Amino acid sequence: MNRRAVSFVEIVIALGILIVCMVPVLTMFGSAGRAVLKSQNLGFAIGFAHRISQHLLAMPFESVTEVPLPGQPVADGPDDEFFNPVSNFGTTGANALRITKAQTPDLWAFLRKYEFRYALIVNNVNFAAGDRMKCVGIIITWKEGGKDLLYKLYTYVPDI
Amino acid sequence: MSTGSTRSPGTAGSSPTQDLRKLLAAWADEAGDPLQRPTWADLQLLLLPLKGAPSAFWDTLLPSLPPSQALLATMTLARFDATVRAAFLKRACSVAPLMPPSQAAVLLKLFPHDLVLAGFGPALLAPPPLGPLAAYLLARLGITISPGDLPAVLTATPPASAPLENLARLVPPDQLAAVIEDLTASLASASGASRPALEMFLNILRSERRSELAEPAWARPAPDQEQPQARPPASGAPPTPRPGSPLAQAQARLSGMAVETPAPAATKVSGILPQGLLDLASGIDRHVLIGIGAIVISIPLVLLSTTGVSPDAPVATPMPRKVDKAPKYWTDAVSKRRITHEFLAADNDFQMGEMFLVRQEYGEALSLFRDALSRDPEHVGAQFRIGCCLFLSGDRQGAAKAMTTALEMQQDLPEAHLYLARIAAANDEWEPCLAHYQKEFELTGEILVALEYAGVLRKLGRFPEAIALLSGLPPRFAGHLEVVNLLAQLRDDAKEQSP
Amino acid sequence: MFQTSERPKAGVTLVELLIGTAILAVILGIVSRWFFMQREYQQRLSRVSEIQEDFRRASWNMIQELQMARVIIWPRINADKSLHSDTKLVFKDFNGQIISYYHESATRQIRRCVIPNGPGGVVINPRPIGEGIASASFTASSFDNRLISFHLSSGGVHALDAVYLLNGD
Repeated sequence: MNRRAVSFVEIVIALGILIVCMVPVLTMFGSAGRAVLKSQNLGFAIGFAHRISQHLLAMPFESVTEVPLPGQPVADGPDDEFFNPVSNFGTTGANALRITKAQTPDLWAFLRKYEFRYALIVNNVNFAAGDRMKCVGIIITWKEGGKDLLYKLYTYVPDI
Repeated sequence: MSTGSTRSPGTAGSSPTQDLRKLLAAWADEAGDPLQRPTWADLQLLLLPLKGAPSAFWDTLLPSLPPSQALLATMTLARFDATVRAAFLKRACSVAPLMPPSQAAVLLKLFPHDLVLAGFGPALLAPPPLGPLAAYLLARLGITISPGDLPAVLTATPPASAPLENLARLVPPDQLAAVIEDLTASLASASGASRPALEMFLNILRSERRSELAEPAWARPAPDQEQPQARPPASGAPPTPRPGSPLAQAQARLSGMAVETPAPAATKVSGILPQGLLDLASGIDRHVLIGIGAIVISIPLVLLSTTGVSPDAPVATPMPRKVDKAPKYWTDAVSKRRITHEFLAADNDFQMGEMFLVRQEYGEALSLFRDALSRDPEHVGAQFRIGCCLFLSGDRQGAAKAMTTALEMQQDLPEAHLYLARIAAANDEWEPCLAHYQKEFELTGEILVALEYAGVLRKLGRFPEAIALLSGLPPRFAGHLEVVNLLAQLRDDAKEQSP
Repeated sequence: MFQTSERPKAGVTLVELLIGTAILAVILGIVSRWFFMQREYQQRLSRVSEIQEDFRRASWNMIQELQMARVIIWPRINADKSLHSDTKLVFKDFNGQIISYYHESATRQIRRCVIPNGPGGVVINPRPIGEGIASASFTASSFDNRLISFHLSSGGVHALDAVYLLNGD
């Protein structure tokens, strides 16, 4: 009878291979985390789009103009009617805060990390003299996990 | 949507025109230089043989394409082949007014500036809407024109601030002072009609601050019901001048196509090189010659550049490329569907159609939904709405066909069965009608569906089924006034019917 | 005729032991570090998820009432036509009552109170309309006082939204 024994090194190497093989299985637990991240960004995008839609209602009709794709970045973006300046606790425009690294680092970092942008697709429709509307497609895009994601919201802006 | 794989044209069972449309749509979706896109290899097999086709062919094809595809195709053909360049640039000028100016500018960015100038330079002399559009496009692309052509262009430009602002950006900055001086001198002799525009233009040139680029107003051309795509406008085309006239000379200059004298360098070279070598070179393919020449020139340059480099010399790092290009596609964060530019355009049309549908303008709505469907054949919403428009316009047969197609695209589409049930009821086809009501009710459980369904059952005298249907409604609907009334009526009818 | 070979003695050499221990230590180190990172990541994500839920609830409550309101009383656009922000918002609701939303940074809540038009004290709602909100600002964004933007933030999570008053005076 010839019984072959297992050496200690073989056991250790076998354990190591087992652990390495378990890692992909265990990464499944990360998928729940990714779902939360996705919903965070989607929720943010929904609020963004809603904000734009409300601002569109307050803007003069002729000022509602197209912002073509790929869209305007929100962080470090120019002054527009929607996001910049974002707030102003002072009594003059000199105190206005914009979404920049210096003034709103937290918000800026979040927006830059996912490269949030917004675009507007504007179509003018004249039903009759004095009866005009704009069909505005609000497109919010961002990057997540190497993918380009998009949320769209359509709104109709009357000329009142 | 094209994934970059090669498709062979002439798929069995499809016509060349259908293949051409599909390839054009796929090619337009891709990003980058139009001649380098993956689908271009297949598309040129179809497109290039057609470039010499009679005008009637292109006059039929181009209006049936989405304007963006038509513009891309005409500009690419113009770029690819110098022999047909003029004709296709003219076609591009007639297509450009059919789309939003900003969209046209984005497309034209893909082409060399000299080509864009050759096409849209002469268009500056055209009446609105083409003339102001051309000024906007050239200004947007940063192209300038020769100051000598400004008087002719000014004569053709309407005296409004927006087009003149754009025109001001076409003046080369280093020649601004000279232009102002010349125009001021000509102001004295200007006629009454052209004086206001000239004065306004001079004021704009003199002011140091430029306002934002003024995008010309663009209204979607009213689509024809028969042909969903708009026809090119009859007006607005560049004028065709007499040969040799000042206008013709201005057009020629604006297109950047100055008359070229035979290249003296060629004669000099042909004088220097031996005839035998020239004969040999003429027999070899031009591209091979260029490649050989490039290799012959670059090897010594590389050798030269790599010698004498100090190990301490700073390494020049390239400027980071600013990526400001839309990706080829996005993923919808809600539906996880792939969203291409073409889908967005289709969805845009769809939303516009919804607006007209609400206003009960079914003809306009129908053509917009058809546009949407032609851009994105998988747009279930558009297909469904086509059915709705046809139904509301009285075309029940067309509506039934459209709804059936919509159901083939998405089996659980809400309301499709409801419309089919109504159509069947209008045609007195009761069994299909009831089947569709049943399916719709199973899908949506809506109270309105239940009420309609029960109404039809009552009309057919099937009271017990109607009573069972309404009694089985969820508790939140059970107390609804209409449900209570109808149930009471059904019970009365059932009592009268029973012996 | 038959050859017998001497059977080697079973055992572990010191070198094998050392190598095995080193390999095991490296592998365990990598895996344990990964586990700790995952645990921290999961905790952060559940925190983010709770904050998002708080924002959604607060936004919903405010938007429902503001949409039907008549006019924004405070904040108002500055004299030089720039935006003006504040941590409190005062508006006239649909029924003509003067309502205020204000942020309490100590309790991280947004609360609602009714300001009487005549004599009497302020009536504060017993339940806050938003909780777990580290900072909130309301910004007057239009000259006709019918648009109010708000920015909520907490723990690195942000929400930007706005409401247009449909029943503006």
